[in-house]
Amino acid sequence: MGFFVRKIMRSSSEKSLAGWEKDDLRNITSDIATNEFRSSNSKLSVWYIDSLEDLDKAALAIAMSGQRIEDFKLIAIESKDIEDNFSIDNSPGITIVTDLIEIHRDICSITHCSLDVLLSAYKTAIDDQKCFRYKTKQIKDIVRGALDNNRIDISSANDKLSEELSALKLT
Amino acid sequence: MTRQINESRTSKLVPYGYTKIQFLFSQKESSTSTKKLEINNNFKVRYLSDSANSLEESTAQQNSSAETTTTSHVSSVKDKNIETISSSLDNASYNPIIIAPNNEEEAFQKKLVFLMEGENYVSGEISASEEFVENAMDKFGNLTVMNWIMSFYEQNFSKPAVLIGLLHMISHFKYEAVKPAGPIMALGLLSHKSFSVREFAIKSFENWNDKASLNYLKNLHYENVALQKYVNEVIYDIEYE
Repeated sequence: MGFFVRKIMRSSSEKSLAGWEKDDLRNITSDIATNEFRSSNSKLSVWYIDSLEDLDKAALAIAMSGQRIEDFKLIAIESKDIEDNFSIDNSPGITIVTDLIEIHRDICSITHCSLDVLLSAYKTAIDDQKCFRYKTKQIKDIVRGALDNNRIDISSANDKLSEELSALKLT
Repeated sequence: MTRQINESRTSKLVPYGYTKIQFLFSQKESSTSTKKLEINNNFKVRYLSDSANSLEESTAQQNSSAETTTTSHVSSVKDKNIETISSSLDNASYNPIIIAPNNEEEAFQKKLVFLMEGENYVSGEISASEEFVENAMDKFGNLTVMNWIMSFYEQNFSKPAVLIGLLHMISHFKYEAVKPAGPIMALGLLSHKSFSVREFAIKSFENWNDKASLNYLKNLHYENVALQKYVNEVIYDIEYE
């Protein structure tokens, strides 16, 4: 079973969804949709993994798409829940881990109405305990491993991240 | 002549938080009245002019220059005739109070609140307010800027959204650069009544990752199991990093 993985933008989104009845999602705060589903061109960026055993892959791709190494929470949504309702593009992802660029996907043609589907998929994932916190130290360990295997293109990182990566490489 | 009508919509739809949207309408637009009616019929509407007046009244009692600051801030928004949409960072409204004793500090605080209002703090990304504070530190020195931030923090201690924004900012500077004010602020917030603020105060120490903070963290005790577990994890990580 495959999963689409995304970073949770606000920890309050998870708390709100966890405490809300699934059949009453229409009345949940709009903050969740505005914070978590910031689509561009009606597309939402996600990272695809075949199973939860590959979650570190998505974590690495996401960590290396940012401007610095920092803890975050991921949500893993069953891909079937999304594929049944949206078209999916195999678009290259923005990450400096070269072999993970291709695990990126775009959920396409998102409309105001179909945000309900995404919200419901988020709620299901949270109820199924599919939110995972990655601590800074944990991410650094994963990144260190990737650096050892020359999977990270440091030259493409911004100054701050590049500095952090160079320091990690030395440890 | 165009007369500005300031409206603010506050919807308390759910127990977990709410969103505030501020609209600035111009009466010369014929559709304005219809739009106003639609909004009034669907949401609870709070008039910004009322809250601005009460804010001015309360600050005027404390400092006469504060009224000027608040009024000019509101006026500057009016003048731009823009639609401002601000989402809450946490479970609280975003109305920082600004009381500034001198021009540089006043300008710093006004700019900071302007940036923070529009900020979406995302893990792994550098915020505009953080860059602004960094530049200010280069210009005025760490100690001066941290004193200004400390004053801003004291004035906004009852506003979780502001406090979380501040913690997010200062915890991304090196511990050495923000001490002693930074850790003192975080320490003060470890016992804040807002769970999110307490959680973020712990995260600040996690971000600084400095052994000097172990003394504080090891002497914390939370009844809340999740928070205590988080503290223990941070202690472990700092000790064995």
